[in-house]
Amino acid sequence: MPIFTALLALLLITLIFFLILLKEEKEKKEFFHVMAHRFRSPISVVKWYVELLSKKSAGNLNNKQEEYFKEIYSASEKLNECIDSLNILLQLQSNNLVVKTEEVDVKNVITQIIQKLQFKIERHKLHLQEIYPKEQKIIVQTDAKLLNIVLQNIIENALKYTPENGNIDIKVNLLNKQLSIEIKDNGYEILKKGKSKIFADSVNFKDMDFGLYLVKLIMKKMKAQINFRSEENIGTMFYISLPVQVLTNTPELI
Amino acid sequence: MDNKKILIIEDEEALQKAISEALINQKFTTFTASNGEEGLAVSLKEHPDLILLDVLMPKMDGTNMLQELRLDEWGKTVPVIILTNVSPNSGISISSILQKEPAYYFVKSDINLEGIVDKVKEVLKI
Repeated sequence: MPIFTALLALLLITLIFFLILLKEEKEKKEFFHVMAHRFRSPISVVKWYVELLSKKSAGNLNNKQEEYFKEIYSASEKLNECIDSLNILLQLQSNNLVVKTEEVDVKNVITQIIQKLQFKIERHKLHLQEIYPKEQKIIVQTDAKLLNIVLQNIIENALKYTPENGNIDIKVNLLNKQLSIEIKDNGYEILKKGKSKIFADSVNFKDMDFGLYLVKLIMKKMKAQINFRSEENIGTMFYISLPVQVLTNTPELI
Repeated sequence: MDNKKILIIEDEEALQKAISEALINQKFTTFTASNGEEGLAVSLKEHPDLILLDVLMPKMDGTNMLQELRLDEWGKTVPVIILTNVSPNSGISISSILQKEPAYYFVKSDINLEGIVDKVKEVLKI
């Protein structure tokens, strides 16, 4: 009988402890949502006023001023993306992320990412080439935001590790309801040590570079494949293969 | 476009002013309100062609304001663009707000002023 009482007490204590943990977890999530909301407002203020200034609604700007405002705008967009990434990471970790199915024009997504990064591409004198199948619009059903985060992270990674005057090719294809995207650069080789870190099951947040870790988690959630190849004097290629619903008016390549 | 009236209901004054300026630059007439209660009063008095509505606001939030607005005969059909920074997965259900058509939804920090003006024009078929 005392053993039974002790077991019951132990069970109760475990349950209470578990409930406290759950409550703490819920509070943490709510806290994050409130903070994310608070962060986003000043980010919008910065972005929108820079936009007004850049449109010269408060008078003309000289070249230096325009350049500085581009930097401020780009930094505020980066801040916003960091909040999005953290939000998605938290949802993935708590298994709460819902993958949406919406109509996505893949070329549009890539064009918008490139426009956003144009400033950096020009600064590093990089040659970026997009390759799409001829006479075919790539419109698929998938989650636009998640696809955008994945592609932007991989493209930004290529920009970061490709030296001045380097080449980056983005090749898109659609075959058998699989959207395949290759992002190839002729930049530095990812060393052996680094190779094992990319797509590792956990991430050292001290590295502060959790972009590819997030990409891996998102790809897994979207039931997609991702891999890479990196060789000295050749460069690095990341390739993803994502199952998608193809819209009827989009002829598939056979 | 000078005859199109847009009401901006937004408690953050800096954001309210920025949207207003971007719309005025495109020859729209704008009205502003800083909470749902004030926004509802201005809506019913001015009958704007379109309303830009924030969600989290003091006094009356955007969800309740939209609910009240849709009870009015004129307010039933006025297009509303919800501009918020509430994450779609947060406690407030955006999908339930969007059912009160015609309503559209954007995350403020994801959209620029040009995007807002373009959406206003698209909804008003200008």
